[in-house]
Amino acid sequence: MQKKIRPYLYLLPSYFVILSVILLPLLFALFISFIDLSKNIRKLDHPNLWHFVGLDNYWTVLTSDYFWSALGKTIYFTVVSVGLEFIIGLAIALILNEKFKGRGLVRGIMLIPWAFPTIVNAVLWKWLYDANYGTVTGLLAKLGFTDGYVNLLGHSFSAMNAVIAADVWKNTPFIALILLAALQSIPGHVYEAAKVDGADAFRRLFAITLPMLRPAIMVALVVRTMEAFKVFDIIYIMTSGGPAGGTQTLSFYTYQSSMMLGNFSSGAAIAFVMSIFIAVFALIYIKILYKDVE
Amino acid sequence: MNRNKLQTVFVYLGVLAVLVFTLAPIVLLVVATFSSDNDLNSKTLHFMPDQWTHKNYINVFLGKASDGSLPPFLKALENSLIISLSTTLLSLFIGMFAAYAYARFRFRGQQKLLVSILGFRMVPEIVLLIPLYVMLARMGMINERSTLVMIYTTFNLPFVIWMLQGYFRSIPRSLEESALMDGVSHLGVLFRFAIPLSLPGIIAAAIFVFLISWDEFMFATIFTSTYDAKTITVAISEFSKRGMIDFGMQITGGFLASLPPIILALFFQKYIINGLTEGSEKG
Repeated sequence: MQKKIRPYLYLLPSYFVILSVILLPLLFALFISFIDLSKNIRKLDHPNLWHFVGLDNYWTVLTSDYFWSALGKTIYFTVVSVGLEFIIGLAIALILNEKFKGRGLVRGIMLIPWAFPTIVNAVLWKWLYDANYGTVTGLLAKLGFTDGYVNLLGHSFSAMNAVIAADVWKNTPFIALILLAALQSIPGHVYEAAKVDGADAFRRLFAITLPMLRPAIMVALVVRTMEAFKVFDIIYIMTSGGPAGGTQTLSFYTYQSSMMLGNFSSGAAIAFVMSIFIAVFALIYIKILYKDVE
Repeated sequence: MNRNKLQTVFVYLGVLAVLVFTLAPIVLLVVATFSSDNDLNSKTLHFMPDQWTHKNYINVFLGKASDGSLPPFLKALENSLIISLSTTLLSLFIGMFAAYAYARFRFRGQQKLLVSILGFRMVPEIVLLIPLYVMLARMGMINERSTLVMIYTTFNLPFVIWMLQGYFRSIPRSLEESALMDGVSHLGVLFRFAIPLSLPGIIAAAIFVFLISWDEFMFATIFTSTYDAKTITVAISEFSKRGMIDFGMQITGGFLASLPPIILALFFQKYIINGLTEGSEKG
């Protein structure tokens, strides 16, 4: 008997914490999304004021232009930032896998942006983008890309891309690091054989390197995709979702609806719709992992 | 030029590009922390200040907070250290048992429970923000360091369990089995064999948890109201409040706040890389 219970006793502390701090609030949020609190959180104290509205909150969310706009911004942010991080990260990994003097040192330096707290990264780039004296703003003007000093964070399109550039700088090392570790585990004789067969560098990259990196690439991409889809901190500091909703991603839209405008019920509904997207990613993630492990 | 030399030139050009990409923003940041307001607010593009000063550092450390207008940086630093260290210790301690159970016991529902752990890791934090706030406010637990420790510990547990069970699985069972035969209890085996043998994995997990806790902002900013509990990321965001942005202080505070994670990352680079590789093999 004792033997049967033992594993569950070992799991108990972890599951107790996870169930009370994640599952319970999750169910509570689900409940809030089915009633109408209409800007009055105190209604929660009075069960007779709980007005069940079924899927109304979800309907409101799904028929609102703001939601679809936020979804579009989130997808744009995710695809462009993760795409760039992957391309630059792969290039960095391939370079740092070559033999050169000071390789260990350069590998260490490459890691630094990843260790920067997200908030500090946001503050740094907000300053570099400043409309009046930012270094990036100044460089763009000097090199003739812009007509004098422009407010990069003041226009929807440039603001989104500016935030993406900041995100790319910080998160590229993460992908580079995973790919570099995977590159080092490819045995050298594979390349020797290909060279003897006369395969040039490009052929070797596409025929050997990339296929062998597949598991590492998948993990790096899925982890980053899920993080990027939830992006909040960098938006909060750099643009607060602005200008005119230009950087309003789903997480920030949820935050704005509930914490700033007080629409707790629709905030909860937005968050759940967002969770469905994440859950789809999660299922793909688990599927890929299991496939690669087996 | 022969083929090999050309290749070497390309490699060094690539390395140079990597260094510029990585270091340019950092150099600008460090120079900025030693620049006067005049230099920071000057419209002419220049990379070195006319006037070097350590005024920003003095302002950040002294906080100029007699009227409470600027965040007491040192207090926030202390909060962040205590919260991140407690989270690291607590999540490793709690998670170890679950990880050991998954790695070494066979029980009903094992596979499903392990996958559910991954599921919990993927819940977007923003979903929990409102309900947790309502619940914790009711219990009078807002603005406490221990509340942030509890939240961070929970969010890190799935990751810790997943990572450690992978490490426990990768160490040979034979030592543990003979110890069990000699009458050592399972807990004894966990602490005397499994943990010491998977120390590299435990260190890697600890570094990740510390970095994630140090970095956290959303819960820290919503669930705290005074510097009894505000963390360093919140302090940095608040250097910009009260109507005006003090870039000098924000950037200097930010630079200082980045030093602990950067030093940890460089010092434990090997463990981090191992952790990521293990992670990409086992999830």
